Amino acid sequence: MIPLSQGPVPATADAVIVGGGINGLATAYELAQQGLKNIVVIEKNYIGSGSTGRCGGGIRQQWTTEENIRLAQESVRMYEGMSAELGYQVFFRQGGYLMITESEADLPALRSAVELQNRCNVPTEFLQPEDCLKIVPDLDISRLKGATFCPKDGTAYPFAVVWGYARACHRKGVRVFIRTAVTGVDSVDGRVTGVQTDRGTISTPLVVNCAGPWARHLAGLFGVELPNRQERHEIMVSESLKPFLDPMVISITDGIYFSQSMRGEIVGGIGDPAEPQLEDPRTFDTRSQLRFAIRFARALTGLYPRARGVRMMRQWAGMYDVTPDHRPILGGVPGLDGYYHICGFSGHGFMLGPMTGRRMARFITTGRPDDIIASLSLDRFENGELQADAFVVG
Amino acid sequence: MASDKVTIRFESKALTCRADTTVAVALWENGVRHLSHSPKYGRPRGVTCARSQCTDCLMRVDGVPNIRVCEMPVRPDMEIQRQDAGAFYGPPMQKTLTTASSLFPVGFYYKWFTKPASLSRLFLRFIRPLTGVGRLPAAESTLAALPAPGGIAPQQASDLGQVDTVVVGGGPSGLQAALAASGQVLILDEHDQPGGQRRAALAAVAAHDGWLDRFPVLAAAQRRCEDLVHSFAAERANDFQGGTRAVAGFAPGGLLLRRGQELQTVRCSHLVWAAGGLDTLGLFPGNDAAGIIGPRALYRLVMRDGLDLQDRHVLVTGGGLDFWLSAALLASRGARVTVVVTESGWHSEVSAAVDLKWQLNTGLALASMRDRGQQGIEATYVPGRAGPGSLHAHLNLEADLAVVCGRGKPAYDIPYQLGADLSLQPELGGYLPRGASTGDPAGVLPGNVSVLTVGEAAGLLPADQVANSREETAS
Amino acid sequence: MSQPKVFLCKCEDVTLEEFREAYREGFTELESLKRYTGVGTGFCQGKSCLSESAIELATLREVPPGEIRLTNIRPPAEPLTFGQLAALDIPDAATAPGAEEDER
Repeated sequence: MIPLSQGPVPATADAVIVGGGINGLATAYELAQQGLKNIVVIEKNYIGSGSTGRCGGGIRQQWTTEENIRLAQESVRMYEGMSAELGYQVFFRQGGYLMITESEADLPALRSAVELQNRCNVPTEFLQPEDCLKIVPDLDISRLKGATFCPKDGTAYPFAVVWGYARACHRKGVRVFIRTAVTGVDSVDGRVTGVQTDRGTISTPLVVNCAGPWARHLAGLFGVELPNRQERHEIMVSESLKPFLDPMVISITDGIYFSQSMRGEIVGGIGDPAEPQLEDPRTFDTRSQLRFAIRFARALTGLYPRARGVRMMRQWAGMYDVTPDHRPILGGVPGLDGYYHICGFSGHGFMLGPMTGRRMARFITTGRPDDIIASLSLDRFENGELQADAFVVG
Repeated sequence: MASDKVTIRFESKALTCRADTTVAVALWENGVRHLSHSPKYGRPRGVTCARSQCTDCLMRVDGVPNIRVCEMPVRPDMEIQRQDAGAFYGPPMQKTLTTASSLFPVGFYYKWFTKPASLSRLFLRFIRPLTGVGRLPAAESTLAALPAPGGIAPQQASDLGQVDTVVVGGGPSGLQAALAASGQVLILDEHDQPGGQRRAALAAVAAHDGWLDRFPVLAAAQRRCEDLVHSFAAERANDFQGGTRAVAGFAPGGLLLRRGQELQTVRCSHLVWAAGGLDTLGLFPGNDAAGIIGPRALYRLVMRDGLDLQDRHVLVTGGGLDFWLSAALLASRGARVTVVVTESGWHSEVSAAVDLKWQLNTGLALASMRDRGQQGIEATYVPGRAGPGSLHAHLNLEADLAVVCGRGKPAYDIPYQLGADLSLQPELGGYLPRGASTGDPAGVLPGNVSVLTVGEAAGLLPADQVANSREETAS
Repeated sequence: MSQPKVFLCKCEDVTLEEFREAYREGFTELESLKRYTGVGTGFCQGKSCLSESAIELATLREVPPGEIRLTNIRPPAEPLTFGQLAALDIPDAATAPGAEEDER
């Protein structure tokens, strides 16, 4: 059962998590695993209705900084065991990620990325174009210059992950409130004291901001300024066909990504440099653009000509919560006890969420320093220690 | 009507059919009523919507998967196949799957085989090949060679530019809106002539001497339709573009259209959505049987595709204008019609039906739909309150086709894609765009495109017609 | 033959009973029910079943149908192939700021 409570919220809680997507639910679960008792999750729509439910479900370890690789590696391990741990099938299929490029200039970076990943024990290989045909037989390699492939990367079904975590939360006594919005916050002398919602006020010493594109707004209520902005991305799904494509294919040249889901549909998207960054998530237009459909179709049929006869069924849009270096913001802030944020995943929240939730839960409950959380804290933007990853796609 | 004959091939059998019909009708007339099998229970499905809206007629045509044969014209030597292993889903397997379905509760695949991790992986490897409907088309797909809507050759869309008002739907409501509009108007309809999806059927019934007079509801509808068509022809004949369907609405306020084999784009300041209703699925046990269709599908099959129903037994049940129009149309085509009358108030129509020696039935039992040589599917109609949109009686009759005239669903998809505001308004018959009853726009989109929905899409005609149109509100 | 089934969604073979069972499991929003049961996710993308699903959910939740948040209808209304789409001209990016927050 996944009972999602409706009705008035409790008057007190040991922790309030704002946001019912991957980050909020994974964090709530992990806090419960750490022994915290009276946990409430607040979601303004339905669970997974935000970025989590709109994403392509990709999970990869092919990053270019050691930190990102380690985080992603831990995430993949979590996904490998997730169905068993949650007792809920999340459909994590490790078909691999094939990252391709049409530009010679990218090859040195790709090679060194592979070396770095290998040093971290991630089994990525560098491939010549013709090797790609063994993995994706009908790929058009005529313009390819090189590729990398990691067989342990994969995809999972976002809603299954969300429901799995929600069920596990319920078993641990976490209460999830849907159709409940935060209307205000309370703090006294640098300590968090509560959260106001449209179903009542909750007194709590601990608030975790997992509100995705609305994280900046919520942080602002606490007087915390986040540098996050939102980006609009579209994604589409094709008709259902018998399995023919194993990996997720990503082109770092034109920013297309596509894979075949467990239901047999091609799921994919392409970045659009013409999309402006949004200052306010309320200006997010969820309506579909023909421009996306055409650009995606051209890129897809250019790489995979057999897709010419495949029909697009549906396209939709979602938001990335983007930070200046495209890496998440974790941890707390000085001067405000009891407030933590887990946001800014810039399009990679689904793959990193479970792992950051676990690390943050341990950090919050034990207080033991965590090197990854420390390096991804908010103050890095002031200190100027920005380390962007080279492979940000979609 | 005489026409050339062609030969097509269905799973290695050569079939003869008229040259000017669709694959679905050609198969039906040759006794092939089961075109596909449903994904989970393997239940046989046949032609249902006849407008490329549903999933029931997906077949493989000339090697191309997932073709809706209900709107695929026949061509000589066409190869048609079922996509699933039809033999695998023969009656014994179907019975097994349906009976065993209680062992597979909803969402079972999320809850079973999750531990240990190795079993979970094995489970995924096992079920992955079971998903998917058609197979990936061949590299040089013949899709482009098939006529629309199944396939259209890649082409650039021609741009119709910016128009003051675009009216989608050339039926009575759309014509009314076009006549009332000022400025430039472009009115679009999938039929070649204005008048809407019932005009041809009404004309067919009118051709029978004296029939319209016996059925006042049909007479009123036909008169209104023809009056509007004549007014429209006098004032705005050149503003009509037939053979056109709206394919997609992309923000802001742009429509992608398909006219025959061509794609077109158009932009407007005001969009009037008068596209009428779609047949919905009546909710009763056995409602998925091959042969259960709605009235709009009947009009398309008979008037557009020439389906030959001479001496076939057809049931008509439900209520509203479509109920009597379907029955009359069928009778005019020489079908043996059984009309199940349960709604009180249709007195004159009932007497007329009796006079015309239509078979009337108000009995109780089970109905079975029988395909030639295949086991029948039993359908039980659940009695409900008399009134439009609910099914009233148990029937025990063998029939080739059952026309169930229930609540229509407004074809609101594209206004919704454009951002129009929709809500459920049951007092007006169901699921409607906001503002429909008051004539307010259902939305104002960026670029100041206003979207107004009228007619069956709103459950009613423009206000001055409502008083005369009991049958419209009942539809 | 066992008790005949009432189908809510013929594309995905979802019966009325399965829909109600999913509701009892805690899926109380049409968007979640859609994803969990498969209603409206098939080839017809909800054209045949969405109204009935929404009205059934209103009955289950004992609320007026107008309170049911509808699922998002997305283009295209008729499936287009990637080959067809690729042949069209690319329009400029739409600039539509100020759209209201979409709850869908």
